[in-house]
Amino acid sequence: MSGDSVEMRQGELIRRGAYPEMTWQAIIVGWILGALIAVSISYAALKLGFSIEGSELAAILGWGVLRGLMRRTSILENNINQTVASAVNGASSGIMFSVPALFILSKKPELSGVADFNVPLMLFACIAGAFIGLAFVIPLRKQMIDFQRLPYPGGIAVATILKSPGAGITKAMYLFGGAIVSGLFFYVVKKVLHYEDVGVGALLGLPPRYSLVFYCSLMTIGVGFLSGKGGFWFGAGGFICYWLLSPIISTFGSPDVQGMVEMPGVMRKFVYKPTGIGMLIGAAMGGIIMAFPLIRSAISSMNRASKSDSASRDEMPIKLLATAVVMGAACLVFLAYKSAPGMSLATALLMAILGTVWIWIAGVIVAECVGRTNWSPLSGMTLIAVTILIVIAVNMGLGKTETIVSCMVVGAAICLAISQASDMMLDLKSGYLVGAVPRRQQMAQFVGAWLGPCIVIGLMFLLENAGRPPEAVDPQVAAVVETSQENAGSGDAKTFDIEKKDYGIGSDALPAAQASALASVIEGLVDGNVPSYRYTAAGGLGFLLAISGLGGIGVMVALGFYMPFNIVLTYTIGCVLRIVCNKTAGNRWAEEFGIPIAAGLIIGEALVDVGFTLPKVIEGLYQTMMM
Amino acid sequence: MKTMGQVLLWVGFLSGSLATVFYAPAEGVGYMKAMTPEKALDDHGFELPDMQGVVIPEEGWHLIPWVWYGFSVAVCVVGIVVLRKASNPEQQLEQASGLSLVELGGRLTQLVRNLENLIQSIDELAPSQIAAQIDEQLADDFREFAEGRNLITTEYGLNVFADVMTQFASGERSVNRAWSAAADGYVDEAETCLRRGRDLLLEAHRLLNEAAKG
Repeated sequence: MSGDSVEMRQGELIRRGAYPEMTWQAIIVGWILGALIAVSISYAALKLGFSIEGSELAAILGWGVLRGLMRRTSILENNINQTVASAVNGASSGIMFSVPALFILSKKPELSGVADFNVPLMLFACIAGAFIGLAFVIPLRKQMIDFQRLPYPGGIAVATILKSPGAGITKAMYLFGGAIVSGLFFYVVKKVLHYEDVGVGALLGLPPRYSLVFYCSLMTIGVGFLSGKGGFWFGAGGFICYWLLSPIISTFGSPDVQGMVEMPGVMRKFVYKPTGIGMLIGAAMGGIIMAFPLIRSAISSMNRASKSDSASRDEMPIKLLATAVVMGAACLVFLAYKSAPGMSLATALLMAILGTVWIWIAGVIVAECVGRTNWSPLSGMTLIAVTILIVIAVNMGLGKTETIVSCMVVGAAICLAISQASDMMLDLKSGYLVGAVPRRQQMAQFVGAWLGPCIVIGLMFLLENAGRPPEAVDPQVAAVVETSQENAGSGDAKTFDIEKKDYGIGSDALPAAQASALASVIEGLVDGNVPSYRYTAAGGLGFLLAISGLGGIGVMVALGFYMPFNIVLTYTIGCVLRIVCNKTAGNRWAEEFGIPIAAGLIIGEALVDVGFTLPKVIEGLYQTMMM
Repeated sequence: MKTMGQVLLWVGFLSGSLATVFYAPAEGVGYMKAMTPEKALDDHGFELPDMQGVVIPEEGWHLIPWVWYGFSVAVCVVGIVVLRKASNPEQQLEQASGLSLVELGGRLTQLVRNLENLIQSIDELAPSQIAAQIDEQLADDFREFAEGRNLITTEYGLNVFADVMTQFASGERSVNRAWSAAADGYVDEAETCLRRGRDLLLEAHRLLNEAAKG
């Protein structure tokens, strides 16, 4: 048991001595839980195409392990545990949405060389990227959490879990009640009835262009509730697309686009999503320009405070972070230079500089999106990064294979950086709410960030190679097999079709939907097919909204364009409920009871989802090893 | 003027958005054609219209009607300029938060007073009572100050805002830590954090008063 001495006061236990926070127990449990969660979620990302934020799960498991098994007694120690674990898990989405694209592309004969990338270099790139992302985003903590006070719904949910042992039985009942309702709803609706959405529009006889379809997820309602009225503009972005622009286009647009609006999925894929990406970039640029004086004031305030008072002891030194950024950028130059034969120093330098700048911009975008809505446009930001890198590489005269490999090495570093940046800010919000020292949490994130890439890249190679037939592994064996097949004529010898890829990543067993999408985009980019015209036009509009002086609406409206409308609609229900609660029952009620229930809704669905994924992970790994 | 600014901003933005999405890319049309007529259903099972005879527009930059787009952007810019000239940020913020600068300072005074009372009585309270008192006596004042914080920027500028909020946020975080420590039974840590929180909020109040004196 922690604490130097124990005594009783009014029937309650009181402990004397130092309050445990950053302890070895918390770090080691965080590494172990993080590794387990990262393996599960990475596999889910390859198998099912989505990723799950691991902080809530780590907080709950940490609660059981640290308090239940190890008899530890500190909320802040569990906070460090979840920070380390989610830092380890940050690699699962960062890597699984990007690097497997190389394996998928390698099935094409002309690109078969792209899978032969330098593995230690890729690992180094991922770790370096994670560290650069953290060094960039940490100085923004003060601006986003202390000054702007972004809600970070996921951070509130984690803090609610962390505080539940001391919050009293009523709040704990609301939290667990919400979790049970949400988990049961998820199980019955999605796993038993197999409903993803409810098509209210079809029931009302509305044309498909209105896309009045609600996503069946109490978790999404919970996230909307935690965002409150701040989430209004996110909903507005979606309504502008499907309830204003689509009906206008269906009446006045050209015949081709008139047909497209009746297919909201196609409309989103080819029109609204790229528009949203462009708008996000423009809004982020405008937001950075508008927030620059505030960021500068925040940094000067930190410097002033560091000379005089105790508030500054809580922050990591700015000079240390600046050094980390410079060293990270130098690492990116080295990585880019070594990533492919024929790479010139000038190309590597250009890729590294633009990559570093993009890490900062995308880190700000993602941290703000997660802060306001809990959704991260990670795949969109990675896509832009890869686009920038491919445009540079192609224009500098690199070959197709060299372009793809070098861009994916640097792109993976950027993807990890963005993923770690958003996770760090979310954890710092939880930390703020439980009273953690930011500096310790930031150190905990660094302590966990290096481990994730090692685990996830190892898992990726295990899954890719374990079921691979011998002729696909060794060219000499392949030649022998080929000869024996020729000799056997049309006999019974098993033929292996590399293009079909019936093993590993990209096969039917492991479709890797996100990485497949990235792979197809990369192919298009290398061939010069980028919707830069739409990015430019939408970017201008996003920029204008950001500088309009109406708060952070640019990013919010852009995210509404980017996200599927069924999610936006369900999210809006949560926002409306919060506004109604605040008006009718008061802010206090919403905070005392509404927030634990909403946090419970998030936790319940996430846990049941992971619960269904785990057996698949174990079964899949077992089958892969046996093949 | 303010309403006109809002109208111009949104008319410009919506018109620009319409210009941006008005023409479909060839690959989208191709994708859609590939789905018809045999697969004439979208993701949600809706029936699609007949797509025979579609026109695939020229690819690339020609898909955006730039004159229309440029006019929309110009309207939007005029709207932003009008909006910025017309708005009185201080009055706007006061209406939004319901607090004046004097009341904002009053919230800090109240927080410091409540913290002082809690520190005085901490030896007589059980750990769960300390956590409960933090929730009951401090949460509302923290929230109300935070909601009205942007008034400081409009009145005294960003540097004062940053200095005050640095102290305020550190103070609030310190009180949050006191809550966690009390919930876990660490009363010494809870007391230390409450004292630190009080000092930081006092400093925030001092900075705010100093700015008011000019």
